[in-house]
Amino acid sequence: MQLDTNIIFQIAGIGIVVAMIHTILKQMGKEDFAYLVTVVGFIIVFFLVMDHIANLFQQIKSVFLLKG
Amino acid sequence: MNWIGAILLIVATTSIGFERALRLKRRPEQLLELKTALQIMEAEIVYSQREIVDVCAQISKHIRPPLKAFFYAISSQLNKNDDLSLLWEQELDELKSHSALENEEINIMKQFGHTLGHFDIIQQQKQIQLTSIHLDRLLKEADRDYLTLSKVYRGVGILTGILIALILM
Repeated sequence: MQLDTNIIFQIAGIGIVVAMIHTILKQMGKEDFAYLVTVVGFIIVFFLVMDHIANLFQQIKSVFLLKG
Repeated sequence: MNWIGAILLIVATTSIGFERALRLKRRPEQLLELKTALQIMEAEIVYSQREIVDVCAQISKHIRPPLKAFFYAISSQLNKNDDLSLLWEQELDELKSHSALENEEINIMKQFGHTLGHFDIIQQQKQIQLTSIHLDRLLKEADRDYLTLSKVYRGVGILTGILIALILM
């Protein structure tokens, strides 16, 4: 099975950048914006991996013979 | 081709961040100019007792752009237009788009514009001093904003560019 490693690095990069923005905003006293940025980053990453998670659920269903 | 787009995006957001930081830097300078203009106005009204057209012309000779253009426009257009407070408001809106001044100081100046020409010299002097006190408060705020927020704008500008580029990759 061919693993798509590209998306892993992409998510890691997004994580690093979001963490940096969070740190800068928090240091300068804009904590509400900092948390907003973190949540938005999380949602974006969630959309990126949505297909893969759906795939995973499908696999689990087929492994446990729940496909009907 | 992907790389060119990513670099263009990062350059664009970085320049937006630096532009915002520059605006923060210019705001205290322009507030100080505005205070100087009010001082000149006070001196011209209280001691020289000139007309408002001459006062504005005099102020526009002594201060730097973009406020120079504001006072020049008022002194040159007041002859054609009778309503000073309306002209003052229009020119303030014009000034807002050309300068780093924010809504708060524009509103204070608009309020001040409504008092022009309605009182005697003593009351007018009090109004000028009141406006000056308000501007002092905003000046302190603007200085503090510049010290703390200019770095944030630069950093967040660059990082946002990198973030969007990463998401689109």
